[in-house]
Amino acid sequence: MLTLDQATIQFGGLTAVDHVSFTVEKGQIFGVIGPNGAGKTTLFNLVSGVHKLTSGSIRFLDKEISGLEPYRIAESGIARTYQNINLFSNLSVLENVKIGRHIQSRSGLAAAIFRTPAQRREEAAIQDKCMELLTFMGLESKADLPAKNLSYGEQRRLEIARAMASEPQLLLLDEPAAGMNSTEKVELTEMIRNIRNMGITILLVEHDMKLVMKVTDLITVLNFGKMIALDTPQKVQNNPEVISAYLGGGIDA
Amino acid sequence: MQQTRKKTILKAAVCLVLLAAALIGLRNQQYLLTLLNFVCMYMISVSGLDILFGYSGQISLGHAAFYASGAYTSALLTTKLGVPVWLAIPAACLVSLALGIIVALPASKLIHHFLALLTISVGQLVYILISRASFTNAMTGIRSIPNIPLFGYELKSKYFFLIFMILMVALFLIIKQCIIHSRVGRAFQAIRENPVAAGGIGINVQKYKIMAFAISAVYTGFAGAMYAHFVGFISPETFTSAQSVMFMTMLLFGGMGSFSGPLIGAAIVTFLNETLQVLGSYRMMVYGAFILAVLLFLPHGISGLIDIVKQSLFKNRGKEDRHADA
Ligand SMILES: Nc1ncnc2c1ncn2[C@@H]1O[C@H](COP(=O)(O)OP(=O)(O)OP(=O)(O)O)[C@@H](O)[C@H]1O
Ligand SMILES: [Mg+2]
Repeated sequence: MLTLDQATIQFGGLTAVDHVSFTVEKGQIFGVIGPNGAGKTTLFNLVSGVHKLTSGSIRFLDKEISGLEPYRIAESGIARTYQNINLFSNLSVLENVKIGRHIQSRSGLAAAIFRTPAQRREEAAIQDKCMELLTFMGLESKADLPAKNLSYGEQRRLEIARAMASEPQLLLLDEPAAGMNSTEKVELTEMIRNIRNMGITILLVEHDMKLVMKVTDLITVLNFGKMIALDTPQKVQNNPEVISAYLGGGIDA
Repeated sequence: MQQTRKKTILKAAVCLVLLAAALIGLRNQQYLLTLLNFVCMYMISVSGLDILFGYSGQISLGHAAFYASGAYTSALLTTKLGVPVWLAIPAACLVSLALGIIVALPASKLIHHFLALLTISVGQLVYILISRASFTNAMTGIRSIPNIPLFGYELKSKYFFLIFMILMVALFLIIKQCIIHSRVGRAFQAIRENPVAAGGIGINVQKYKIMAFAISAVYTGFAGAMYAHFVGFISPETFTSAQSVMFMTMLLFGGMGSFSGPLIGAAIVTFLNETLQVLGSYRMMVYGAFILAVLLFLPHGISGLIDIVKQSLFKNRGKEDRHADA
């Protein structure tokens, strides 16, 4: 479904992602781990079009997507969340999710001005779908609050709800558990599984090893931009190179 | 829902009755009628600026350019080519729309201070054009611009022009609300709040930035056309950067990103300007200090202040009464 082939990006002299190649199959939960500064977020930025490749290629559903504008990549079926939360913070929780419906709805300016029956039907459908998603993410009681008033964990879940609203085929989650307490993490694990059971493929960056080992099918490990392992969770845990890369950080941190 | 709807209708009815009473009382107050007509034009223009700055987060310090494009298009078409007023006004909107898109093409790639500079230059360019070009009669301006004919009558009396303007304000405000509470309006606000996230979720940021500019230009262009037909005479002096700054002042003063902000701002700043005339050359100083105070202490303008007061008065009535857009 998603294939990276020798994907590389340099920032000045620093090669943040260095000839990384892997393939994510449909229906997988694919983990990306590695110490701080390993290039995980940069990898996400490459897939979602925020940064452009220096060399290599990224293919999604057999189409080259590197070089496309982010909104085009979103249209092609990839949605993401952000490590340093990127919500529409002054808008309500519900509005945040509604904006996520953008590519799944059509009504333009004229339809809005004349409030055509089709536009009103679409708005009603957006409302229903978004409330359903908020319920799914356990945020329905917060629908009318400004997004910035949510707790850290809630904001992370809202980011997932917004991404889900675009009905992606591939969902990129960048440290969804960061800042969550242990009950929230347990709930999140369940949510990630449920999302996969809906047929959505997931690429997951996460520092919480318990969570990663529990949900992922395959894991790739980055260190200084290079891929040092690509294996099942059990095997990755016992890989000596991985363990030494994490020395100081600690793989079960 | 039913309850709030009834309340809204009741509120609207009360406002209408008050408005009608006020209008009857104002019948012979020529000076006030003139001012109120201007207030209505500013309300439309500033609402347009609000769509751009308040909702899509793009600053413009050159909106006088669109005010001019609307005024001059309608004035030139009617006086030089004999085009009927009712065709000239839509043409004025179209020309402003086109100018909006032309400005937006480079503008949509810029942010903050670069955008501010670009829009200032656009304002200057248009001002230089109309004050030098021979087809706009340079500094002499354009005279004898026909009034707006309506049902076979001309809106010669300021009184009837005002009634017409109030209807136009209502129309443009309804359109604004329709846009804001739609997929397009949400895209604007997404771009204002977080352009990276907006792009990431599939919004074509550049396209919607251009759209916001174009809509905004139509609002201000229409207001410009109204100005031309109301006064019957236009000259470059009306379209200086001071005009652009005034639009922005009204918006910030009233409160941006809200329904009532542009209305409050347009009304108060207009009357403030007039009242302070008595201070002669100290006017600008007092005016400046007053505006500065509001901007410093009321970041959401007067409409934000009203929201705060409302909230503390009706604390236990919940959030239903709170301004949805503030
Ligand atoms: N836009 C940029 N310009 C320059 N350098 C960058 C940029 N983005 C990331 N980097 C650098 O690339 C490297 C990888 O950063 P990245 O954010 O991808 O790491 P990460 O694996 O996500 O780390 P963390 O676990 O802390 O989130 C870092 O050295 C970072 O400083
Ligand atoms: Mg990161």
